[in-house]
Amino acid sequence: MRKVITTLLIFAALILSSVSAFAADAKAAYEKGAMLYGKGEYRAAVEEYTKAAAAEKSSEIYYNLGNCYYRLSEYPEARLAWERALRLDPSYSDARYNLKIVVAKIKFSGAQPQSFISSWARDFVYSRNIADWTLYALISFALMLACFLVYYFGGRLSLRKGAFAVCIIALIALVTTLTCSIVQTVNGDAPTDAIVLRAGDIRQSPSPHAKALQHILPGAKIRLTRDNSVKGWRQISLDGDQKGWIDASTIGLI
Amino acid sequence: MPKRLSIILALVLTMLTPYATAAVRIKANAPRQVTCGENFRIEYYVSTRDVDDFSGPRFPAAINVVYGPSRSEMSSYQVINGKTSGSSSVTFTYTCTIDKPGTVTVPTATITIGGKAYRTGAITITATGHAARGSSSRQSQSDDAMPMKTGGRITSNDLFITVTANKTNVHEQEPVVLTYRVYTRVNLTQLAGNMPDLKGFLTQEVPLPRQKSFSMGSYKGVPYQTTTWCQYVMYPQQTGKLTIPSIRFDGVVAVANPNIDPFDAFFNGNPNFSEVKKSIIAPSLSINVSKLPEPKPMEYSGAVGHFDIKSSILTAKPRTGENLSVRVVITGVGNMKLITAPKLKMGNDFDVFPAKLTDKTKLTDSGMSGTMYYDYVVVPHQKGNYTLPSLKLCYFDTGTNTYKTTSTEPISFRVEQGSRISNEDEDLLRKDINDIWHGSYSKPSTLFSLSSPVYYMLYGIVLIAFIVALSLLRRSEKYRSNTSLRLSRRAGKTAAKHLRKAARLLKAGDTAAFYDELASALLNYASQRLSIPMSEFRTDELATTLERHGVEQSLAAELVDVMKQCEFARYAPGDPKTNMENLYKRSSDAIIRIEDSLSQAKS
Repeated sequence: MRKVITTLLIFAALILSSVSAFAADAKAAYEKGAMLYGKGEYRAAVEEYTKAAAAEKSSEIYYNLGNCYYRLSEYPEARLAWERALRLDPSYSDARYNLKIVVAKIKFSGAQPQSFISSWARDFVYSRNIADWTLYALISFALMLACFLVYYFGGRLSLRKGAFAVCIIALIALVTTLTCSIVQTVNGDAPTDAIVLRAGDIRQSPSPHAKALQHILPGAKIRLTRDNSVKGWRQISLDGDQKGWIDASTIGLI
Repeated sequence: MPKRLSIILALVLTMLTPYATAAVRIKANAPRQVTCGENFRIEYYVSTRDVDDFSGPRFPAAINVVYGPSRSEMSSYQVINGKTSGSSSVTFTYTCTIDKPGTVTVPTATITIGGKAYRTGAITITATGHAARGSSSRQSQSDDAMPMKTGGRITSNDLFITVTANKTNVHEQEPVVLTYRVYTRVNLTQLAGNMPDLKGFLTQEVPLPRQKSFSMGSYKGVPYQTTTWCQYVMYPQQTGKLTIPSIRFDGVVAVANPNIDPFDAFFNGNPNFSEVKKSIIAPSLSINVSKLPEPKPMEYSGAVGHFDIKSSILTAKPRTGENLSVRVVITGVGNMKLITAPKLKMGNDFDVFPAKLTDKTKLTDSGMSGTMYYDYVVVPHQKGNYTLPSLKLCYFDTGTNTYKTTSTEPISFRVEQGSRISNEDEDLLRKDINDIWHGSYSKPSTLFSLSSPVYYMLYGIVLIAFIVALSLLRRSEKYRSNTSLRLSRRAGKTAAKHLRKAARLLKAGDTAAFYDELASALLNYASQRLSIPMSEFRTDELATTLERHGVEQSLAAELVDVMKQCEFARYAPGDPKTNMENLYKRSSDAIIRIEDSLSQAKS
């Protein structure tokens, strides 16, 4: 019996250490990247941060990576990194600010910053990540119950009226936040948007000889459809219902 | 005296000598060559005013005299260095037309001046060409009064309206010009009529001057005053035989009234004309509209006529974010107004705004003709080489009765990087990015996710906390309601205590204190017994509350009355002692009886 427990413990320790070793590598690369960035060696810093990002998904790693690319004047790559940081943490204000600047740079270069029409509903759902939405849902739930108690046992009429109103608002907030988190969970981690890294054409069908619908410049953000059945190509949605195909090697998925 | 008169006479005669002595000149003027159907004038000029008689020529049958002779006189005087000279003349004018080509000789006319007959020479006129008859729109302006029928009955020959269409067999959408023309030989002073109800047509009214000026014309060889009353350009929207219904015009005609005494009319400021109302029916007209041949081409634009399309880029150097003007010009004849603006498809790299239309067309006999300018504002988003695609216009050609397609040439152009960027972007371009994050990095939370059991447990904790709080609060509420129960049980005792104290004060004769005590006894009793907080206690609601608790109405009224009496009794007149005893009795009675009835109601 004791033997079994020991074995299990060792096994668990091994798993943990391998995970932590992975994490330790990422941490080392992250710190080295910051050091290189401070010295102005941006190309080397990019490598370190890329290594760290491969090991751990963290908005801060992507944020710093974006800064390195920006310093190298590689704006499409910088935008991609910051968009990834914001996908992990949509409330990351530093990343949002830097993204705004790089989008202005991309616009100035003559590229159209976005090739699709965004819908406000989708933007709202993705304005916070799942963790935020679920936390808000829990808070709304607690607030709703607390307000119900005040309404039920409250003394003064005005207090009870106010509590009832807040209770209803909290209920609506609960439904909304839960819906947002469910939608995000269902859609999963699959990338939905991408940044064009090299100039190319959006084509009518997934073939380099197909008719070009639109020329697209680096830095533009494109919206992917669910269709990724053709290897080496991605289908993207353009204006409204129009769809086109783009060479997957020229884009970076967010 | 007679001598003096003869001198004056001699003087007058000397003054008149120029006229008397000058040779009378007579001249006949007429154009040598005229066009058939057109009005022309034959004038007889006499260089004196003293014409006794004018007998015009006997016109041959080939010449129609539209009007004449009209007499016009002219005289002029000159005074140069005190010397007076003058001249005067009379002209007799005929307005005539010739219907058939050929040479016509107008014979001599005889003019009698001072008893002497003068003869003019014969005139030879050659008529050529064929001018349209009846619908001739060429009229010479008449200086003189027209042949006016000023009396008698007005017949439909004197005043009528014709309706003409330039075509009666047309295709759908092919413009038809409808003209209402008024012909009159009477003095028409007013005319009003509604627009015809043109079903099946899209109609445009040709703008005509509101003030109608009549001119001279003829209808079937008969001279009339005539004017175009209204004119419409119609585009048939249906096929088949479309009828333009007859419409009624209401006219007012001035007619000479022979019964009116001319002097009376003059002094009363009344012309010797009276106004007669006359309604005129404009005839109906039908137009055969045939269908456009099937099948219609896919890109058929709805245009019927003959058109040409051109496109051009007006902006010399297109730049991103700046307006680029594209002009599409459609020139032609037909239903120009009904052509839908050609759709400019520029792809996703451009914002295309709706075209601004500049209409440079006129209504003509064949419909709208002229040029339509469609100015598009296009904003390029990206720099690069682009092509303005070829624009097509498919129309039905009424000349060949076939569908024709004209198209523009594609135009290649280059969009350069625009310098115009928004202020916000300009600010952003001047700013630097935020520094990198120096702290340790975070990992996305796994606690708050829909797949984490801990998250659902948190909901459970909140729910348990809620249930606990709910039960606790409910218990404390029960306790509170128990307190009020106890208080109401104690009410009788408290009241008794107050009453006893009041009885002591009654004996002592302390009036003010007695009433205070009695009032508080009643008030405390009522408030505690009915569990009404003192702050919410209303004497006027007391009776209804008591009744709700099962107390008789009269009893409740008695308690309220006693409470009121306590307020007033201390100032009441009469023996204070008796009043106090009486009120004490009533108060204790009321409390006891209410206590009884309340405990009965409970059990």
